[in-house]
Amino acid sequence: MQRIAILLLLTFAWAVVSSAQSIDQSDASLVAKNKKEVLKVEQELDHAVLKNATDALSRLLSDQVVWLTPTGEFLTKAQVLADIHSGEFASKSDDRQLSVYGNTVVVYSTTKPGEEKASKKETPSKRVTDVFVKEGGQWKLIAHGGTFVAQP
Amino acid sequence: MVRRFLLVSLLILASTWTFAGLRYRQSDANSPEEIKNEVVKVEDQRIQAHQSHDKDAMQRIYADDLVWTFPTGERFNKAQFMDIILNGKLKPYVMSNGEQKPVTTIKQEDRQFYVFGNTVIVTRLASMTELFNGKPLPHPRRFFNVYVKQGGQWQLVTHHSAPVGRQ
Repeated sequence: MQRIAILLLLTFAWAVVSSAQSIDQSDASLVAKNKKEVLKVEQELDHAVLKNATDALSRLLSDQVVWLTPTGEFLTKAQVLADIHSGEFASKSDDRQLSVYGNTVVVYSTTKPGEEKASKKETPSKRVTDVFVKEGGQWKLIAHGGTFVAQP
Repeated sequence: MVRRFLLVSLLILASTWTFAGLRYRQSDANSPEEIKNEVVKVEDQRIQAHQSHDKDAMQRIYADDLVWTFPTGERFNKAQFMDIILNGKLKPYVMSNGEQKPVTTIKQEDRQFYVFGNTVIVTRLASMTELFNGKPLPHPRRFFNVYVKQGGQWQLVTHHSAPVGRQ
């Protein structure tokens, strides 16, 4: 009887260890999957802004999106969509950095010096922070912040 | 003896299930209002930790991969930002009778909370003036803080700030 009990205990111990390992492995694969999905959404977002694709942009933005402009204004989703035609265009650098917290992903990037669409005025490079959450199986942008890099 | 073994085994199994459950169902049971109240508390503790240079509180509240974006576009990680605060490199001040005086109370101007399940965004206007390494930072500024619940604890994962009106 005692042997059976020891065997049971060992089985449970093995179950605990393998369960912890499988959680870590699934965490790692989930992180990789989420990164890949969010990078794709980031590309769609950039493309929508570049092509003035209001419908696509609307689909990618959460209704409650927090959008902070480089001039320190918070815009609503409606204002962002209305502003898309006059906004600033600047391509993002390739060195995007992603932080994953389950179904929340933060993307850090830096734009190259660009040009404002409406005024054609040159703009300095910009630090961009984009925050995505998965809502109803779809990644949505819930926050965007852009800040011009101060010239020394 | 056998009963004890069985009991221990069952306890181990139960704790494993509980642990796994906690990792994936953190604030599902809370309403947006309850979540907001939890984050209000942590945000207030964060401000207090800055003012009192409370290293332990900052360690707890800031995520290990925190990124802090200044209104100048400079970016700092957790260690760099904590060094800035703990060593007094960032100093809020007010002008009084032509003299710079340290800020004792930080006003919570236009503070808003946006709840997205386990993620909460706090937005604010900061009109106070600040010196960073002896140089004034652009002000006023608006910013957002993003909190995520991890391991049952709300942590600040990113702060992004932009100066108002600067072109």
